[in-house]
Amino acid sequence: MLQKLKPDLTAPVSAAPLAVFRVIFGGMMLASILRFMGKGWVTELYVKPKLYFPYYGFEWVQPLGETGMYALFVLMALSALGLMLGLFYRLSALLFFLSFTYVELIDKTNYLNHYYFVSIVALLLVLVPAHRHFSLDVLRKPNSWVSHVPRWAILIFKLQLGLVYFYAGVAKLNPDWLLEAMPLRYWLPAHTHLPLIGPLLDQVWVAFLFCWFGAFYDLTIPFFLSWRRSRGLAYLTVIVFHVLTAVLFQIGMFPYIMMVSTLIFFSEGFHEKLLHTFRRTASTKVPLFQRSAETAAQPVLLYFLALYFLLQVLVPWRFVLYPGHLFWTEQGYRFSWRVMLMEKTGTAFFYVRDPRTGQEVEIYNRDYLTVNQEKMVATQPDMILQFAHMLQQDFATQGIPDAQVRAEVYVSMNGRGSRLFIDPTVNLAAEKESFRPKTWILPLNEMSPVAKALGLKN
Amino acid sequence: MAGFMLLSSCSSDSESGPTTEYDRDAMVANYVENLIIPGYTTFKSKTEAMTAAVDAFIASPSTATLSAARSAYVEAYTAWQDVSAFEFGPASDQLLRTNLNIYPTSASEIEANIAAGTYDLQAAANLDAKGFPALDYLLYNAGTDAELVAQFTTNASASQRKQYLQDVSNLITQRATATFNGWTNGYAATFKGAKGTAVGSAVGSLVNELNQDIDLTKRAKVGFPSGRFTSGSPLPEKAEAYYSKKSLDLLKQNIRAEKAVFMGLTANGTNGPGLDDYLDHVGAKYGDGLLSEAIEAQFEAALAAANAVQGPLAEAVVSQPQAVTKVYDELQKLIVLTKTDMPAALGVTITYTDNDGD
Repeated sequence: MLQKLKPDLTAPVSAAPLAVFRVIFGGMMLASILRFMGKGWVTELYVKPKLYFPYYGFEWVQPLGETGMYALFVLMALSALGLMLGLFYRLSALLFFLSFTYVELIDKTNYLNHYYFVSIVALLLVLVPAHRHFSLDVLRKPNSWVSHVPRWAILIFKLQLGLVYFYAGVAKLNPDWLLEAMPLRYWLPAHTHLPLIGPLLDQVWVAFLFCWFGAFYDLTIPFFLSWRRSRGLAYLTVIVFHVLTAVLFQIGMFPYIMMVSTLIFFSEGFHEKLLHTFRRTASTKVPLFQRSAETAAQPVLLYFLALYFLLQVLVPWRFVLYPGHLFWTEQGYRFSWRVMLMEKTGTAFFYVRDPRTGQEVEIYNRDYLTVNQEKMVATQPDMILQFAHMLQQDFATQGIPDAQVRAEVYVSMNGRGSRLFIDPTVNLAAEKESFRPKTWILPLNEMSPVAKALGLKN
Repeated sequence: MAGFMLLSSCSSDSESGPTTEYDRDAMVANYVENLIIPGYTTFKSKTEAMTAAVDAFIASPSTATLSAARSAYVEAYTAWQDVSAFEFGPASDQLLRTNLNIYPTSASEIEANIAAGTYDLQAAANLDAKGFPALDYLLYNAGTDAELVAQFTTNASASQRKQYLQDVSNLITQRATATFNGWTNGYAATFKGAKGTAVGSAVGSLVNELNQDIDLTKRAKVGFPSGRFTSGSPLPEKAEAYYSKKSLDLLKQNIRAEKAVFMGLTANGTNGPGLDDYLDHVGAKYGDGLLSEAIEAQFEAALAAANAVQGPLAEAVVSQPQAVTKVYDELQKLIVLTKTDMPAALGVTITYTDNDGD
């Protein structure tokens, strides 16, 4: 199939949209990193915590200490600047991808879909010749200038953005969202003090409107943005939608990143005009002839990208391989563009037992975890397991080897009363992490009375 | 789509959901005007009375002045239980929980400070040598009243001991006064103006600090002396107010105060708009009933369990471990409801960092 599509995918198209995307994305990343550092989050999230929760298989990714972490963030900021300016582009893109992804892999507590989005866009940017038009690299090496790039170099970003939206929409097609307006029904009334829309946010029908419009928007916006005749209105919707989410939810830079990234759907003419305006202010000239970028590795790249997108399409569906309610077990939940779908809160009590004496002590979670880590551990089984292992290790260093760890965890999800989340009798320290289903997660039974574990101690 | 929406909104309106307007500003105003400021007014005057009684005891130590100082101390410590849930704004600036109530207190540090005659009670090292727990030790650590009075009269370091008692007592009053002044000199308006439910908002602070307080009730007041976080066997000397044996009264007062905070209940018994009404407004359910009712019932269950314990907590952890365990378990159930279900229903967040809704 790829062979058939090849002429289409490799046909030369204007390099302007790709150059604009590179400038905008690099600029947004630079701003995001400076904001992150400015808020003191490097220290708060990557220096101060006593423990970190790496991803399965990435346990070797560790924080680098205060100096190391700040150095890494400075490197990340410089490479984002390199992206924006198109300076030492491939190296900048690669360094940005590596540094950003490394930081994200340190602690899954901080997982955000938009960080994942940034990581994969950075990876895609490494593969495209986005620096051969409107860049400092062209000023350094005028011979590298091109007016055209192969179509796939732009298509992959549209496809990626389209997948993000579409899957975010698919994820909204669930009973909680559509039939109960959860969790928006709980979240919106918190904003009744806002001017204009505030009083409306207390109304149930408004929560339903937001839910249904949100699902419709996510599912259709990639198509409306792709179609020339609907693009203007669609982009207006993009602005309204993301400004609204920025006002209502604590989601940082994500709305702005999406607002500017979706400009890539606009026509060549639009982007060329944009660049022309910039060039005029800088009074630089471009050659009049046409030259297309040629990529020696193109055939390999195309196969790589085909595989990549196949994975992108399949990964969000991996949850079907696990039993139980996805939102409840969160097995196969991450990396699937599930955004703003759950109000999931938990309280976790951990107990460590010395097998030699049979004595059990309760753990004060904050002795080990930050506020945020404690919140995340309480609702995510893989983090419960990791914390149990960390507790066992800590007790081993205190002279209590082979300690048993169990946890009483209560979770409330999308308006359901809190109930027991995992089997409180299981010795978690003896359970191993793997991609296999975690049998100690209790099923979410909608009908059964709220399960209680108190009294089960010892 | 519109038709479907109408349909679904109708069906869920009938089961729950915000149907009437809820005035969150009125709720926050009720907390400020009728709970927080009156609470700190009482706390301030009780600490002032305590300082006066302590001064009178120091001026002429006798069993009579000791008895007056002790009862003033107990009243101030009790008034503290009423406001300990409000650790935000001025109270957080003053670090009241840390500066006034770190226990168990360190008798050896207190004695070392007295013997040295010089000390910095603002230093972190002295956190467990000041506040109410230090007063508890200073006013109650002898077998008889006469022996205690003797510590302040015939004892070689009596004058240093007097000075230490006065310093500890004064510092409590200073912190209480500074907190009261903070609220009356502008913070009340700031707090009322902190809209929304994010970190730092009025609602967010009330919910998060109420939870923090209930956690301390469970973990410190009951858990420490039960030895739950350490050996597994009872550690009576870790009880709050260990020397005066008032731990159980303080515990009950604290649970009542936390319940009052949840209900928006004022000192004179008026049930104003509170977190319970707000939960009803958003239609928060628990099982077949209302979440607010489940939480209220759980407060009652915790109080009932505390009422079933006999004598000082420090003795009860040894003599009636089951009764104490019952208190602990009821408080644990309470925390699950207030820390899991309540913030979820109100959309209260606990961190400043970006999130995408779990």
